[in-house]
Amino acid sequence: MAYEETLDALADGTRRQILALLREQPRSVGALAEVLPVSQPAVSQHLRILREAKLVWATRDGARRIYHLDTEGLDSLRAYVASFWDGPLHAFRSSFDEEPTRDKGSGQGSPTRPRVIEEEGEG
Amino acid sequence: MMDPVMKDVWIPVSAEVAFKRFTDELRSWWPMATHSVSRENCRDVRFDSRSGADGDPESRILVEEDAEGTIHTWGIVGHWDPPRGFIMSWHPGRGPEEAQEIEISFEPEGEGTRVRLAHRGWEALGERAAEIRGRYDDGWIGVLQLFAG
Repeated sequence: MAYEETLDALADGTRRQILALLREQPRSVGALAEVLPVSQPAVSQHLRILREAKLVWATRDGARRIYHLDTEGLDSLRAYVASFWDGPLHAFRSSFDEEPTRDKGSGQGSPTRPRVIEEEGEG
Repeated sequence: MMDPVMKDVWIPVSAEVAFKRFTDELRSWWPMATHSVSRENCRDVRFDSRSGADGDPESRILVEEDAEGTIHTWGIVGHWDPPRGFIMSWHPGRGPEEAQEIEISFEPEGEGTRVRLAHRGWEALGERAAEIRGRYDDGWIGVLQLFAG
């Protein structure tokens, strides 16, 4: 399961630090190793794990690789942590989103996500 | 008694259209790969008519069909009142003795319809009621259990 890989990847302080640094800006292995208390080979190893979990991805800048945050891993985790009912209700709501002028940018998130409503102590 | 899990969503269509999409067209939107007994092997989810035995009236059941053609019953409709809503038993992946109840209602609101879901009857799950209720209410509990595991 994809979310398990994501959780494993996040269960390490150094890797979470790497993600925090990449959230500020994309960086190379060398740039990350400069500010982290671990060696460059160790940073590379952490980046490999983060890449497999789809939490980072890399572009090439000459001989260097520049690492960026990847939201795909977080999306699988988000889907996993959502309530059972949020998935179907969100899918039901989205099935009406077929207007030809759907110009909502990246399509991330939705203003009409199902929400938990106050329970009125029935039952 | 444990509180029901309640969710709601607003959609920009009439209650009639919403009810039809929710029931007749269930397969067109239900996330089968994640929300089914057979997961990736799930091929269909639908409301089937079942003729009653021994003179019982015909009933509606909600079923899942997997790639091998096996039918998994999710629940039986007890009250059917289009387009206002319906009430059914709910036991996907479990026996009917552990059935909870869900009620889906469609209320006109503004230019559209408020769809409300109430999931109750957790006591039928016995000792695991709180744990399973938690998973339906808030997925974070599943994550916490994973870490506590």
